[in-house]
Amino acid sequence: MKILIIEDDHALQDAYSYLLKLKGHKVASAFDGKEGLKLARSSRYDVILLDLHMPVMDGIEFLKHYKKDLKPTTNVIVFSNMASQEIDKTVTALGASTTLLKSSMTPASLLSVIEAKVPTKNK
Amino acid sequence: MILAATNAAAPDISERTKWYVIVRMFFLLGVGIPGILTQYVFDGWTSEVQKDSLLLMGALLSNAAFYILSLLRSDEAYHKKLAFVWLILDVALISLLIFTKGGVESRSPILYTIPILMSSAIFGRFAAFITAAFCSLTYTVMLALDYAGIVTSFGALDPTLRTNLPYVINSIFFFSAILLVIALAINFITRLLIEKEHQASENMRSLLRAQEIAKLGSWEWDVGSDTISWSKELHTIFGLQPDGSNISYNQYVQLIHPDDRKHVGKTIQAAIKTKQPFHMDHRILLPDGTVKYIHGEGQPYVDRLGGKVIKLAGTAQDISEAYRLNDARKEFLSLASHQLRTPASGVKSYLSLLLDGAAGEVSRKQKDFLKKAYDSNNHQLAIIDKLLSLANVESGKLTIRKERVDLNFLVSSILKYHANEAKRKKLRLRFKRSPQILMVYADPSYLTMVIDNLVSNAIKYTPANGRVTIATDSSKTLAYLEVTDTGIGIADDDLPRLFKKYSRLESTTAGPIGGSGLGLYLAKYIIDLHRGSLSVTSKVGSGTSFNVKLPLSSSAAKRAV
Repeated sequence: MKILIIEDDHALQDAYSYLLKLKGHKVASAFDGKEGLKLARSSRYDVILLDLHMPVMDGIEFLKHYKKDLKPTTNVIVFSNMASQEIDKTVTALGASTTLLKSSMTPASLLSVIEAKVPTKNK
Repeated sequence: MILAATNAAAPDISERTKWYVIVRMFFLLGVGIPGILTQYVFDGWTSEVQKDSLLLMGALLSNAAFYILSLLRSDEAYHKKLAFVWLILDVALISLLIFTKGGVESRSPILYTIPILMSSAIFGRFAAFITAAFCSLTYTVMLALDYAGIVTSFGALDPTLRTNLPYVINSIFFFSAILLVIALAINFITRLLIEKEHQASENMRSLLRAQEIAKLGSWEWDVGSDTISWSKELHTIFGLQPDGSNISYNQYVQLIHPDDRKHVGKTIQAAIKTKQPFHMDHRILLPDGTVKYIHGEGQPYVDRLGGKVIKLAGTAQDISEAYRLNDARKEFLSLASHQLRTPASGVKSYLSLLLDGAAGEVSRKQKDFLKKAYDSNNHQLAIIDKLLSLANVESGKLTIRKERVDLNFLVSSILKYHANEAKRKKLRLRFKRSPQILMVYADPSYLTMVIDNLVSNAIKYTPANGRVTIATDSSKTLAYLEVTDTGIGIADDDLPRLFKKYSRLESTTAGPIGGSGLGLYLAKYIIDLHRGSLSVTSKVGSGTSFNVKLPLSSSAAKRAV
């Protein structure tokens, strides 16, 4: 599975990509929305893990720009510490498939969510 | 009450003039009529009695004229001029009276009290002495004229006395002394009155200053005439000219922020209906576009029969600054908890990677330590969650997303998390599950937070070998959840504080137990949002029981339709 992690916190970025790589997935890392947009447009991903609060370009801006390029086979999982009904509504309208609260997840639980989303395809 | 006094001018000169007219009237009637009557009874309708009656009539007419003239204008200078003319007339009239009734031997000079009183009331207390001196002088001149034989036409009871020089001089001294004493007494009384008046206006000034400092204005609304009188400070708060003018209810409504008009209207109408005091926070929109936050307190007053609200009175305070500070605090709280979450989530990620063996095998001891670190981190995240929920509650942003939730299933999954902790503390953690399926209409994440909080509290406050029992049950429309422990219990005095924000009970038996003091506050808030109820019963030393009632899904749905 090809996964793009857009997350500005290096510690989290490393922790998640470590486990995902360990489980045999291909992982690309971007540290802000702009960088993420460049990567997302240049290649096709099964899953994009997207943080919301980021420098340069935040997650919402990323979704606004990316919406028209978004392929139906790509799952955008919004993975943030900002949780509210409003944000849920906004990101769903912009094409995100799931929102997860970062603080309640571990790399292992995230992995199971991702694998449930994209059932053993192109692993 | 405050307001009426604020707007009315200090007791002014026309008030004093009125008061003087009344005093003079009593004097004239009280001294004049008995004198005339006595003479009439003993002597009949003599020319003396007729003359006196005419004099009394004249004096009463002059009194009436004085009163009518005083009503014509209200400015001070006019009243002073008027009073001066009447003072001279009074002294002349009294002098005439004295010398027609006899001069030296008469007790009539006591009548000079009237002009002395009037002068001190109108021209200030020291005027009493000047008038007293003037009256003495007039009296002396009259006696001198009489003694010298220049004017002898004044009638007298005993003509021989007027030619007796020592007696005449004695009389002059005697009456002058009496007039001086009267002037002194009046001066003293006036001083007391002035001081009181001064004190009242000083009180008024300090009240106005206090209103200015507190940015608090007061108002009174006369419902019948629909006039709202405002204190000076209230005009300032609402950005109006502080001219003390009144406004109508509709004009007042126009000053309120358009978005808050409905809320304010409803609150006031409810107060009129229930006749109960009220308070409200709302915004106002100033003519220059500034928005201010106002805290209002009010009280309806009913008529004597207690039936109809005739007046509303209250205060309005400009709390814009406090409001902005509070906004900043909420913003800070929300931002801080977001920021705190990220590094704490980092710690959680790595600890879980290590625990899961993602970085190679760990020894049992290492795993044990990692587990402890992981639990502490989870605890930290839970506190951050609570802080964030609190920030949302305070900014009104906490919204629940209700869905059908299986209460029994939710409880079972929560209890799994607490099994280890209970085991470690040697507690018996039991779930007395109702045989029915309990579907409630609730937000699963917030409901989890509430139940989790109740269970961890029960475990926290129950000593080793105790019992924590969670029971579920239902009636036709309600689901019940009860968390009972055999813990230290809560004192009756502490029960009311239990659901207050940041209230951690300082129980000596509780020992060093961590907590944010937010859990139960949020729990109650969340259960209330679900149209449920959260209550507690407890006995010190034997345990505590928390009871949650939630509408069952079907009844909730029915109600919502």
